[in-house]
Order: sequence, then structure tokens, then C-alpha cells
Amino acid sequence: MAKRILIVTNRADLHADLVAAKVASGDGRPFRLNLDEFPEHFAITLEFVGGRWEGGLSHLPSGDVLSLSDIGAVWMRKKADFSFLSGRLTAQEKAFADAEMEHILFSLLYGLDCYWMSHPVAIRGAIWKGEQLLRAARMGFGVPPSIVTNRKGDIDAFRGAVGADIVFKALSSPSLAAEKVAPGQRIAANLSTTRITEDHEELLEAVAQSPCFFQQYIAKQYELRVTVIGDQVFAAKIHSQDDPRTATDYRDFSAEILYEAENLPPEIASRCLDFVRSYGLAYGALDLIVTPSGEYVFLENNPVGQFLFVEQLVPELDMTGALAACLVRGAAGK
Amino acid sequence: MQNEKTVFAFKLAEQKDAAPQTGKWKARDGVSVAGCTDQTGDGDYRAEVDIWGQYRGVDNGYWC
Repeated sequence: MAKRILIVTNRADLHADLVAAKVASGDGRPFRLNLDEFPEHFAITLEFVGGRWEGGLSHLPSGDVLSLSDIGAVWMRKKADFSFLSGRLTAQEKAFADAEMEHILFSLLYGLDCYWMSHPVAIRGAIWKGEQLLRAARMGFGVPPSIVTNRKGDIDAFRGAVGADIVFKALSSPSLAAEKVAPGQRIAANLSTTRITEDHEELLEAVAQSPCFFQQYIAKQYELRVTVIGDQVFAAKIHSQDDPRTATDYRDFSAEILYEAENLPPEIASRCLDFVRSYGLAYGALDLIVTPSGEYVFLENNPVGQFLFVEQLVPELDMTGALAACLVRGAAGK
Repeated sequence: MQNEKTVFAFKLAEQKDAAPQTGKWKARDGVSVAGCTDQTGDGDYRAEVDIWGQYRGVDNGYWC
């Protein structure tokens, strides 16, 4: 019997719902670890015996048992806050319990010898957008001139030097860390990549508080979301310039712009694959611009990025199926 | 609670939010449950409204 596929995610992850169902229908055996139910709804016992860890997890509501020795593949999807039996832990108890759980979880994961989509060390090493630009340029992509600074004067000089508009882009998350504070403490929900104009002149003084990331605004013919799954490359052409809501940042899902499958030039597809593999990743979701002159410009790679929105809008890009098949093959050691 | 924004990104978000809106944000058909909304995790992607009684997609979809 094939080994099991551990999916590390949270309850709300629809991607995991759909891929797990396809894994199961492909004779794979998924085990879902929702971190926002962990350890509350799980029993865990790990024992170091004879030079190795033994034991595993039991999902208490279903009775499903996962033995460490039976894990053949891991799909690292999404993070979540841990959940404990009591909701009344003091702040220090909660902080300590969280730290212990993180230590236990990653001790478990790092000790596994199996197929990874992708290994947490590789994911961690791949998330830094400033480093991504350097690597992308080295691999032949166009990369927008970029600046990080907490000096307004340097932004002005940068804008003058590039001779074009610039955009502000949050490097960590467009959610502005809303998920990290209690609902009553949230003062902003999100900020998409924003074109900076003269209307923002006064606001720019605020960069003195915390360095900010700006890039030259690159004129777009269209955008590409390129999703690498194992050795497969799925490219969606996004007609982001057809609606003002998506012209600067395509991630506004109220705009009914056209998404369609794109056949990438072979050298661009290979470059995307090589970029993802260069980090030791088995998955990556890259955002590219194609300029009016046909240049491919790299914006970023998301090592655990979303892909379902693309598949929903371009059903022929069967990424849930490809991902499930990859995990099943990986668990079987193929 | 201190609501005055100090950090550039928050000032920028505030200015964008203050701009006239053409209507309530609503995800396009067929993609609203794709996991690209509500990074806070407070919403229920499968419900018509989230647990706060608001339409889902509180982050306007900016999470991919």
C-alpha cells in the first residue's frame, strides 16, 4: 500500500479540500493536519527509540491515525494559529504553548525522509522578494528598477532617475498584517500594489517610520501567472489592462477580466522551472509582466501561492489534478 | 484605541479607502471561494456572509 500524504494547512483551505479529494480518488491516502485544530483535535505521541522517532498523530474526531513511518509525502500549504483545548490560557501560557507546538511540529517535519511539496527550509529560503529580484535578473528575466529606503529624498531621486511612475508594493503581505491582530484592533484590511502619483507627495514623508519598497511602474501588454507544479508549468494570461481595477495590480477579483491559457516560449517556461527548482522547491507561483515590446519582466514568486483562482477561471489548467498526481507519485517514491 | 496612521502603507491605504467607491466590492462569479479572500481567516468562504455578518471577501481579494 502506498504511503500517506500529509497535508499541512488550515480548515479554510479550499485548495486542500479539492486536492485531497483528487489524491484519494487517485489511490493516494491523504491525512490533513489543520494547524488551527492542532493540537486540540489531535492526539500526538512521538518517542525516540533505537535512534529514530516513532509514533504519530491521531485525528480524534475521525479516528484516523497517521504513523510517522507511513508518511511518504508532505504538502506544506498554509499556516494558522495553533488551537488548544482551553480557550482560556493566559497570554504567557499561550505564548509558551505556541512556541512548544512550533518546536514539536517542525521537529516532526524536519525528521521526515519523504517527498516534499515543498520542504519548509526551501520555502523559507525562497520567500524574500528582494533576493528573488536578484536571482531573476541573473537568470535572464527583466526586473524593474527597485528601491528600498526610508528617505523621501531618495524616492524623489529614484523617480527622477527612472523617468517614469513608480509603484509601492508591500513586501510581506498586502493584508497589512491584519491577520496578526485581533479584529477590534484592525485599522486597515489590505493594500494592493499602488501607483504613486503627486497625490501621495505628502504621505511619502511617512517612509521615515519604516523603509518602504518601490519599483518603476512597468507598462504592461498583459500579465502572466505561471504556476510550477513538479516538472509541469501552467501559464495563465491575464488581461489585466482591460479594467482599471486590475491595471496596476491584477488581484482584484471583482473585475471580470479575461484569463486564458498561454503557451509560453520554451525558454521562458524553462526559466520559470529553473527559478523554482533553484530554491529546491517543487512548487512556485510566479507573477510576470509582458511589456508592449514583448519583454518578460519578473515581479515575484510565491512558494506557497494560490492557484485555484486560475484554475477556476481557466479550467483547462488542471492544477489540482497535477498537484494531486505529483503528491501520489511522490508518496509512492516514483 | 490609537487610530492615527503613522506608517506609509497605512496612510496610503487610508487615502485609497477615502476615495469614492463605485459600489460594494463583490467577487466575480466563479472565483469567490478560491481562497484568495480574507487572509484574516475570520470569514467562512462557504457562507454567504462571514461570521461578522458581512459579505465575504473583506480584503477585496488581495491575497494570492
